[in-house]
Amino acid sequence: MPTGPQGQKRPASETAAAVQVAKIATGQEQESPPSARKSVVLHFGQDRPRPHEGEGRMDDAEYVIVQAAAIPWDFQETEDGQWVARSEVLGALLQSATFPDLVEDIQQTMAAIFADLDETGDLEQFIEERGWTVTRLRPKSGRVNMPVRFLIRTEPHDTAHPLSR
Amino acid sequence: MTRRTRFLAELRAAGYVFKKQTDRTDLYRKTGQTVTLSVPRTAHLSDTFIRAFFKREGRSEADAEAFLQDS
Repeated sequence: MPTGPQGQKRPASETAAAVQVAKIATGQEQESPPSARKSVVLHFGQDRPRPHEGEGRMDDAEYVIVQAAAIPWDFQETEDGQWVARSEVLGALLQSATFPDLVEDIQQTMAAIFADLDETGDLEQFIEERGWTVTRLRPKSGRVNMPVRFLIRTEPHDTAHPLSR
Repeated sequence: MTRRTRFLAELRAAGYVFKKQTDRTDLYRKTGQTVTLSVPRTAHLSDTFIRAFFKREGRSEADAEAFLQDS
């Protein structure tokens, strides 16, 4: 079974990973080890690292760890069978065709939002305004064009509420 | 003009610019702010999604319904 940078167990498939994210986001499941940690890690993977000369180690990436309080998403199924989700904390709104797609799209959207904020130099201010913290871990190898991976730790929170509330 | 094309025109008129692409959506961010919108690349945009956008922009329900009526 694949593991994360701190030895956490990771699902082998993208779909399983998406389901795990949903469970973690709704507090139904915690990253291992489950002990005294108040927060859980949501790993928003970007594209898998491409093998380079036979290697594809995730520790070749720069990791940006965002310690957040909670990032709840309100969602609902629409009259025409689509799924719409909104995060007031992030100021984000999105639509997906199915619920599994919604889970994946939320995952990818959050990674894209943080990556864009980082590129425009707005990430630190965005984090500070929300009372979160950000830590950057750079790999020892110092390779150029390394991917940036965002690890977002949040407090477990209640299941997302319908958008109409 | 399709609903999606018209919606993207509304988006740009409101100051949103394209930022990134994910597997199924295009991420737009409002210039000078951090609010974002992920627009699916499929042709169909639901009424709920469009109404939520108009509401977030502080525009009236009548504006949203007028947009939906013309679609």
